[in-house]
Amino acid sequence: MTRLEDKIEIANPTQPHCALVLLLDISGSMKGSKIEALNAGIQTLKNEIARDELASKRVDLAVVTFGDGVKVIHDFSAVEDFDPPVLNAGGPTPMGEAIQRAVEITEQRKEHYKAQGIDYYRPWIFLITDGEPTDMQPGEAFWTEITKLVHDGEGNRRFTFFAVGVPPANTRLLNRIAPPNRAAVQLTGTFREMFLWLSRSQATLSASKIGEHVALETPMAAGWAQVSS
Amino acid sequence: MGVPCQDAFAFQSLPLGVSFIAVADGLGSATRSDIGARLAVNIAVETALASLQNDNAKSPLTDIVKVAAGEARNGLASRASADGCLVRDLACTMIAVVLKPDEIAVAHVGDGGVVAQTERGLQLVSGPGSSEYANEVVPLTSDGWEQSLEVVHFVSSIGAVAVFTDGCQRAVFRKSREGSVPFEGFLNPIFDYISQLPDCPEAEQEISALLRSRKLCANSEDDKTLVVAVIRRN
Repeated sequence: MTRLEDKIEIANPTQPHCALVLLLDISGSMKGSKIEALNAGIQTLKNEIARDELASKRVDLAVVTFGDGVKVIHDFSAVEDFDPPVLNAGGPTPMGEAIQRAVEITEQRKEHYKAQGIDYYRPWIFLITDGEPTDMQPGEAFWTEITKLVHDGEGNRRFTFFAVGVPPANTRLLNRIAPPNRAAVQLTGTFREMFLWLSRSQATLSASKIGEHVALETPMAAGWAQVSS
Repeated sequence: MGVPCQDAFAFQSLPLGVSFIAVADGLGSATRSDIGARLAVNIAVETALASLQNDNAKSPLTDIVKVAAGEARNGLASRASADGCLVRDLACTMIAVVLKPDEIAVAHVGDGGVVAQTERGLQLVSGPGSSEYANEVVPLTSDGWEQSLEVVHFVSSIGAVAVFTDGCQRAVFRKSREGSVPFEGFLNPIFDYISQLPDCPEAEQEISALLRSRKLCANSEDDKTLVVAVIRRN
């Protein structure tokens, strides 16, 4: 210990936090190998973030699923307390309502950080789907409401929204939901590769200062996705 | 970890009781921000020094720091075109300070801050910008830097001043509804201790050791710069 170190106290010894919502399609079409890969991918994400000393203190994970209803199956927690149940596929694809729910818990989380005096990063909402919404169609009022929620939220920097289509997802529709500045991507690699990238991105984010542009490796550069058309 | 320190500082004290301090924090997302930060602080201090010498101390101090920050910005743009890179590759924050025993002028873009010890206790002279998120700042290299530029003129009988990058922020500031409040428990022991030391090299060693200490590194992995100026009144 230095002499000066003994004399000082730290004003605000809390870590800044980084909220990540996994917004997962577990509709009937995800049955079989896809839902297994998704379950394994979530474990990969947890383990990789836990291995990163800084990210493990800073990243808060939540999971919202849509299939047989929309559920917050795991509310925000630190990685060490992150223990979501095994996901089972079934039901339709109420993606609109799920997006609404994800945005809602994200805003609540930011309020919680503010109330606690915790610094935070811009939250991420990470949508993975293999289909198309069954609760909203272009032209409907609910579709307009949800796409506006995503586009305004991203545009006003309230959160960062990623949309990933797993074949045979309707990527044309997905792209209309995704924010204009960040096109939806199509999964071409494995779920594992995608979740490894997600954990690396969270580690980079939670350790850095990004200013006007984010120097994150893109999914395309990482090799697990291509821009959907 | 193979990444160069992206903070830089420069200072110059004149015999007439005027000092210049500049600190800059190179952005982690910019590939050559260490070069940008170093260049920006050197230009800022040289510019402030030249302005003061050229006009016989007639300009308001706020003009001196504003010009210093502007020249630092111009210098980054020139360097970018000379090196064939983008100006944002050199992205950094900037705090340019002119300090006299009874006044301080600051030009500030981005985060970090300036705190003074005065007769009324610790006073925030210039704080981090109001960005909602912990890692997002407007750097000196952004197109909108002039809108984000904060220029402050602070008048008080000053005992000591701390100028620091965001790596020190969580040590220096308490969070309150009113925003960032300077914390006595961190800064006062530093000011008191440094003012008792006989010379600069020893003080530098102590600050450097503090910034590397476990207590500070447990709270911020970021590069940390802390410049402490103590006013000696005889």
